[in-house]
Amino acid sequence: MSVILSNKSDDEIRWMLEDYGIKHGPVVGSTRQLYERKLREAMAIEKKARLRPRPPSERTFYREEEEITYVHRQPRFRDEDFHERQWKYREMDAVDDYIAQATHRNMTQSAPAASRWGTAPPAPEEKSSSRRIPVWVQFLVFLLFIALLFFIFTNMEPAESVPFKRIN
Amino acid sequence: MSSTSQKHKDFVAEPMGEKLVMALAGIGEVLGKRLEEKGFDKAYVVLGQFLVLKKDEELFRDWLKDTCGANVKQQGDCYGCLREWCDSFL
Repeated sequence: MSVILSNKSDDEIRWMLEDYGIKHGPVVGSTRQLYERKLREAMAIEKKARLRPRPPSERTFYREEEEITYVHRQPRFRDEDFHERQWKYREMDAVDDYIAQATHRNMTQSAPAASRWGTAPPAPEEKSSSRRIPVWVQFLVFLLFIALLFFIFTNMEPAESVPFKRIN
Repeated sequence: MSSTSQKHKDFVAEPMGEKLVMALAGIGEVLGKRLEEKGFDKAYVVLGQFLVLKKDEELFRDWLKDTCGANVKQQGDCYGCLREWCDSFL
């Protein structure tokens, strides 16, 4: 469902701005376009946030089931494997990350490791989805550059002990 | 803080009266023309917009960028100029 902002009245725009918590002044002819753009951006961000799979640490209502769900844990994703997979996931691009998270979420519905994850998952996963070049490639390029500099350094000619040449 | 330009100093020194929009700091010929095309032909009209946006920096910057394509520096110069003018005369 798409919202056509230009059809809304000034008051409705004002209410929407308040709903989204957007700082604003009166909605008049000269400010209308600006506020419509801000609302469109806010709506896009909200839509993105809704579609994005939430990390299990936000799902507090599962905490009560923690004790019971240990018994029903899925064998595929064990706790000791989790961190390994966590680091592997960071290397994937955004799409794979999403799919992996979605499947993981479906697998561990009761999320027994929710409390163990703590605050670790959200931040690193968010950062990894913004990486285009994997970390190891960056390290490799860096090491190559250092090697190049070292090579140049070792092949430099020794400085002359007497910098000034005597002219005969 | 970066030093203010002569244009800024000239503008904030006196009531703006009927000064053209190009008299505003940060607004040169190109931006001035774009603003004029949108109906903001005098500095006081931009002042009006500034006030309607409640003298808020972020809103005014956004509006200026949308309306005439001002870059960050130009936005800042214009905002600073109007704010200081308001502090003195409003």
